[in-house]
Amino acid sequence: MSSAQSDALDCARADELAGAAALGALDTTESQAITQHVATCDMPHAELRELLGSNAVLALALDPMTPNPTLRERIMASVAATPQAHRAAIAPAGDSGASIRRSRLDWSSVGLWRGLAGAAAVVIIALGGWNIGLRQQMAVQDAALSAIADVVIGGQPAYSVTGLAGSGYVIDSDGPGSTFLVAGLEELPSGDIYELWLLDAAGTPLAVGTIEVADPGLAVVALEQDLSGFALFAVTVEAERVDTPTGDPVMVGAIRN
Amino acid sequence: MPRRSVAVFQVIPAGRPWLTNSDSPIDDTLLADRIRAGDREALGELYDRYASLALALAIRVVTDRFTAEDVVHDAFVAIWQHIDRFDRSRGSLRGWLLTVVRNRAIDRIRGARPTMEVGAADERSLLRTGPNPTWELAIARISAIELRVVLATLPAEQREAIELAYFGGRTYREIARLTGVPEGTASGRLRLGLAKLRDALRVPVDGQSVAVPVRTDGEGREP
Repeated sequence: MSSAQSDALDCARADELAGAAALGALDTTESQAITQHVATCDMPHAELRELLGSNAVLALALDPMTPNPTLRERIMASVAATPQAHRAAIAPAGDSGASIRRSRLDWSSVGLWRGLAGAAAVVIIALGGWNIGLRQQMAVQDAALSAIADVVIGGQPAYSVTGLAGSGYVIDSDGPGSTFLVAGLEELPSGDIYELWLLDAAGTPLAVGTIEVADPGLAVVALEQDLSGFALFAVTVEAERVDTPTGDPVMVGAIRN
Repeated sequence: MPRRSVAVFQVIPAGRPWLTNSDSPIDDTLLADRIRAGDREALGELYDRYASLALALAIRVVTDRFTAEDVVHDAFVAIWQHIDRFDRSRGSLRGWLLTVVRNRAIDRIRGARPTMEVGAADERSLLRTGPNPTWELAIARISAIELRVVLATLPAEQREAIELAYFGGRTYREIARLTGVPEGTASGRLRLGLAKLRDALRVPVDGQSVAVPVRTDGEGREP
């Protein structure tokens, strides 16, 4: 088949090539033609659609092979140096909802101290980079914060939460209640709030608090539910407190109970 | 505070289904969300789950471990970089990863093919990730050994064609030349072979619920 014929791919030809399309066994011209055909054709092309996706199954017939231990380190190093395409696309715009600008930390804020009094926990601050250790960061801060940090380091589980909106930690508690500490939250458009969620292993979300701030610096929020039985913590931006998230999470962290 | 249970699957607006997908392993769904949110630990967890499978696939295609590890490296970095292109409605994160690995490995053995740009492997993978749950359910249901048994039941010429296409990166035209059959026969073998494989792996569906026994032993497909 010539390129011209491929461009004019009809339904019968598309069906004939279903297996080859599913396995990537078409040349580029035919591949583009069949993609375009399926996208625009009114016919269901059920078999073609069903066969797509078969390739991953074939890989499962193989015996897994243990990678060189350094491969993971190499990948993680590359990932650390590689911006995500969607984040890189958002950042320069500087004006997309929650992603406007980063606030400066305000260690002396009243809100901080009020929050820490009940939190018994602390967070690694990320404005200067996640490679700054907790103790090192605390060393340049108030001694009282260092004391609280020691409590955390001494055994309180803390789970990293990261995303477009900022960086923070969810701190588990021996007693009732857990705490979310977040630094450098992005400023929100007027009226919007951050809503906090815990999700169980089935993905069911439970609203556990909100943050309503214009220039938050370091925010400390007591969650309305402890972490037991949950697999994920997430933050969304909402117009008001809701029972079901309405948008993509702007921060996410795994919880390992 | 009393626990509130919210049926999120039906009410999340289209285009923002970030919580779960009943056709995909929930852990992978959450993992994709975390990677999308910039959580590098999640990418590490994805690696821990599937690197050995990804490497096995890459080695099978490129036949050289050193090159295969490069392929796996590039694939995981690509997943991190382009996670926004992952569409859970088209398949699982695992399926997408394996497709990216395979496509990149194929690009390696094809050399500097002018029509295969660096990003093309990832774009092509989006086409390959189909919406039909048969394959994803099969992944959860059967072991590697069981899958090999199913593949062994295919007629030899269909199995050969599938292996040349999938692991060898051959087009159906190349397969036709290699095996000495008309191009239509080669494409037909691929189609019939995959259709038989699909039928052998299909899980009975009862109404809207699908019972898929997931193995938890070493032979299982779920990590």
